[in-house]
Amino acid sequence: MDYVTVLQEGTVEIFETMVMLPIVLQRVTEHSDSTLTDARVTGMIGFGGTIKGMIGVSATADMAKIVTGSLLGMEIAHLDDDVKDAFGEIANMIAGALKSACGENGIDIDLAIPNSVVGDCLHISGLRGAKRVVLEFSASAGKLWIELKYLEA
Amino acid sequence: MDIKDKIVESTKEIFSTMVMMDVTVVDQDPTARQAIRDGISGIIGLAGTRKGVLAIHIPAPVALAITGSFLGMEVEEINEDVEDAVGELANMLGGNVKTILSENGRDIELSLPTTISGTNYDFQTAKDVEVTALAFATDTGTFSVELQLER
Repeated sequence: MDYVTVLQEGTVEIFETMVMLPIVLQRVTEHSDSTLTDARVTGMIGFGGTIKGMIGVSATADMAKIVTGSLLGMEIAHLDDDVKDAFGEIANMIAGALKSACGENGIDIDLAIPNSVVGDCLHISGLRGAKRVVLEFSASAGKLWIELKYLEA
Repeated sequence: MDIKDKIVESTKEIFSTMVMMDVTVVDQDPTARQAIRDGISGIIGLAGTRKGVLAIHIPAPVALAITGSFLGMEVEEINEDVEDAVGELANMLGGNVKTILSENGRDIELSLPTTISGTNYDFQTAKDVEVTALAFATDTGTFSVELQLER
């Protein structure tokens, strides 16, 4: 299964139909080391089954406010609970897209529940031995990263 | 024995047998949510018949001591070794919780562990979850273990 295409198409669709904010894929990187991005917000959700892993959705502060504002239809001034809820929910939606694509390919996965983090100087680690891909998207407001870490059983 | 006691028991066991460090439960309420200053958190998802998240939140000095004891070497900063150790702790705790929640752990799958570290960060759980949180003391300081389960 081509995880990058699934994530790219799923993310673009969710942003067009649910968030109402079109975003464009800039680049895809595959690496296993810890990242220090400019991200201030991360929503993440784990999954288990035939493949196990974690999906993360991170954004810069400005981007996070615009994305949340667009999703909720209101102005967002701070990185508050609404932003955290929105990023947990977006992670959940993207994981849902991955789950259904997996199902079509005979791969069975179950989702955990999302958590989100707002902070400074966030490092998000991978796991030794696991594959990791990061898709960088952009919109006029800033950058957004979708990250998938997984291990095939 | 309720789930809280079982988490206490597993945490103590993992620390004494794997990390080679004794920990004790502290009578404080770690659920009072506050930003974590300079620390690292290991988290792992639970999926299947019960959905949830197991997280361990550790201040930086405590994380260095734990990793040092776990690996048998001096660790001076939050580096890949610390991330691996904290991820592995989350993995071991998640494995135990899986067995606690389901007979033989069969109906629950674990996700991969991940860690988040930062100078100042705070977490938000999903809505409508039941949170069991416990604080533990080591010689260097306290850390907390938190289990969130979807109702």
